[in-house]
Amino acid sequence: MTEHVPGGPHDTAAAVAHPEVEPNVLRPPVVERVIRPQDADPARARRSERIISLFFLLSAAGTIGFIASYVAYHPNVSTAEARTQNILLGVCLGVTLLGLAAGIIGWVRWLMPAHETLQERHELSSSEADREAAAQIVMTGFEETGLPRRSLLKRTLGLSLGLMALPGVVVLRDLGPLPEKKLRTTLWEKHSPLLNAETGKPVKLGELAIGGFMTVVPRPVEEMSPEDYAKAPVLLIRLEPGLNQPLPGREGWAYEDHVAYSKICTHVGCPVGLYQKQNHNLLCPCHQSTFHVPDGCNVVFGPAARRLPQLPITVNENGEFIAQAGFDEPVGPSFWERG
Amino acid sequence: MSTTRGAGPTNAPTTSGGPAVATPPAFVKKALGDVDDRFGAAGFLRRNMNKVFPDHWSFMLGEIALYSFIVLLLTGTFLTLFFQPGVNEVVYHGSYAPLQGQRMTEAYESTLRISFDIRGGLLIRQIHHWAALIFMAAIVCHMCRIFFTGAFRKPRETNWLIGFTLMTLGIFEGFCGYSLPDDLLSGTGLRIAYGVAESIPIVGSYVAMFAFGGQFPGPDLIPRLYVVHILLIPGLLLALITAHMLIMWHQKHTQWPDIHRNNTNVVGAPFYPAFMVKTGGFFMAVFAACAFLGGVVQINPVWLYGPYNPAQVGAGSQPDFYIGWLEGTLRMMPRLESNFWGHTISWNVFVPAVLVPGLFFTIIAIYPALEAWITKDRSAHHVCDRPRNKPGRTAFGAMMLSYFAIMLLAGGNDLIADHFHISLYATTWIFRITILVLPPIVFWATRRVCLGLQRKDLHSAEHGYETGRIVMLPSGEFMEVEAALPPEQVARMGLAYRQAAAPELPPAVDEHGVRRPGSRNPVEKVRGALGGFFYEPDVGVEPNGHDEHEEHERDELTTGAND
Repeated sequence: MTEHVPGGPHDTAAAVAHPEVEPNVLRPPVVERVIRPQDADPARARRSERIISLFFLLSAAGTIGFIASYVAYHPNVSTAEARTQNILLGVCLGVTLLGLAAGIIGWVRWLMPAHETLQERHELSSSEADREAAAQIVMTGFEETGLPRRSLLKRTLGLSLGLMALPGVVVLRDLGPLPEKKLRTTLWEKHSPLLNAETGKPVKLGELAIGGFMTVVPRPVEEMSPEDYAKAPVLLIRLEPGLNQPLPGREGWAYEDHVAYSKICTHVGCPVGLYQKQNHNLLCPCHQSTFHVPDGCNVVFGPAARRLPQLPITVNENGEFIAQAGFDEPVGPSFWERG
Repeated sequence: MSTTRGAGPTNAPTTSGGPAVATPPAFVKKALGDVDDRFGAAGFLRRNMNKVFPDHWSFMLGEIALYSFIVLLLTGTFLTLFFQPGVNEVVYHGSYAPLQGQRMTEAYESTLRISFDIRGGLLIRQIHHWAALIFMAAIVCHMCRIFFTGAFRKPRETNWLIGFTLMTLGIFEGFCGYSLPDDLLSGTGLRIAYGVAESIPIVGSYVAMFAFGGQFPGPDLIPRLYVVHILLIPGLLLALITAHMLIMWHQKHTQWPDIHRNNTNVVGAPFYPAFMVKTGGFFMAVFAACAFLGGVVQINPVWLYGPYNPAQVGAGSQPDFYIGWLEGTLRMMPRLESNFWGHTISWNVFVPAVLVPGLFFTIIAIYPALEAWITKDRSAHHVCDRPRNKPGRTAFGAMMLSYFAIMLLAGGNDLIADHFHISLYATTWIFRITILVLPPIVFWATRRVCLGLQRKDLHSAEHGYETGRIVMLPSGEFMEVEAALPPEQVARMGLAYRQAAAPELPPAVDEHGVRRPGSRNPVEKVRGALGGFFYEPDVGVEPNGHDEHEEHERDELTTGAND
């Protein structure tokens, strides 16, 4: 479509050296003339104009369609209707904008001159005299402040300005509480019931089938603060009989093949949600840390560095699971003070 | 320009030089005069309306970023009218049936309301999210264009730094934005962010507590994210984008090498009217793309994820792509943790989520200074390098891209494992090995490809191209006629702007046994070693081995062919 006719002088210096031959001194000089079919043939240009106008009309139609699709639906409609409306609105708005875009770009490409013009770059740096003068002014002003001579002034000013940064830091102190022991503690304590996280009911012995698992919490979810709830989830898993290999010192922590481990990953704290029954692994879906449950939730793959903390459990006189004690280590990701 | 050939008839009333000077009507003169009396605008307009902008598709990438930012401001303002950044629990009674009666935060509830109960709300939300993805993607592509063409060199180092800051802020802005709805996916992302903050040695738990206002999820986080997302970062972005544009305007745009183009001029279209109108049309095109995507392609369907619940997580959770590479580094990192004197450093989190991104982003930020230091090139450059003409830089850029690509893919290793039926652990191991092995190979291969392409260019510039015409010489020998390339085509190769050869250094110890000053300086040694990658090795075209007689005969033939 576009024909480039290398017309102007190839030497750019020539174009600039003879500005008097350029009739339009107000515009940058043309170095490469572009002649399109529209330039050569007025009929063709008129046809292009009609095409461009069609695009603009299409855009106007899109706007009308947008308003129509807006008023055609009432708020609080069904989900399916909301989706249909969304598609209609989006397509109409898209047509509005695309029609405008196509029309404008066609207008520029077909009807406006497309000649290559040339402009000299001005040296960004100033003249040597200006630089010298600027440096002089800066230095003279600096001398006038007296700072180079008056060291007491300079030092006390430096001190007070330096200290002035402190209120900006101090005032942020109440952004949050100090960590203290908060990251080390959970709601789990001696005799905490193991409640089904979904129903809030105590879990009874025999409720879980062999190979089954359940998320349990020490208190009903509604009664916990979001912060406590975020550390509370524990997975109660019923392993196949005789599979569990308790770690030294944790012999009594399981109860009749039921084991309980914190559900919060020791990597960055995602819930370890996937239990693979065949190989008895717990998989964290976020970063694929994999914990082998019968072996004390030892890390067998992935970025987590520590086992999941184990909760010692037993069963009370009603046959309901309870905790023998709280966790003996912080749950969740590592932190500096964890030790 | 009286020398112009073939101007031909045009539909505009033009003289042989360009459009005729139109006489402005009185009201235009009056309006301009009124403005000029008050602001002295005429001089400014005279200089700036004529500003010449070089045209190339790769110069539109920054425009896409700018226009998607405007779309983000427009749609974002609409969303603030309805969104409630609250963490108080409410019971859902909106029109999305599956979540009826569920307890959720105000933030999540109002997101559902925007999606289902406010007409056009879902469209605006989806346009906003799509525009954010386009914004980040355009910034990354724009940065690649600047990098691979050397447009960050003097005098544009400041604009590179501003652009880098815009990209970094864009990542934070995006993360804050998609965390606001407090759905299951974004809440999981915030949980990871909390864990990452905790991993920082010494101050980690303090950083986490102060940022979130307490333990995760923290009562203050969503309101804080909201103010950061709608005020703080957008304000910074707007200010920096303005500075970015003003500096670009003042320094003038870079241009590709061509016959009329050199380091002291700009060739292209004047800003007013063609460039201005076209760029306006381009804004409409970017907005149109966002509108179609927002209408037809579902994005971030938070109603499917459900409200955030720390005991639940969706399988295959993926962040947006500009965060995804961080997810990849976390997944790749082997387990490593130090415990000593009652303290813990979790390298498995700190290294991939803090140290590695910090290192990579520092390299990106200081790269212009780094290259200037290595090559000792302190002169101003306004002509774009063709990537092949700077093999060292191009290879380095390709290597960095390969790092990010591997990290990003590793962030989806579960999806890859699932789609291609590979074991999940195998994909992790593949990525762990790939990230060590592949980038150096990419560096080496890119450099070789650049040198090869450069050699091809040099060859065609010196010898012309093969015409396909076989002629028989009087001696009976057959040969193919070569013709010289048109001069503009040679100019476009930009061979004049190739990386210079390594400077000839005197030997470290001269013949008198005197050591050259600085030859033992370790910093200079590092510079010398890095320079080995950046300086041009010899890619001279081999002499073709013809003797002089044949050469002469051939020249005659070639000349004849051209007549």
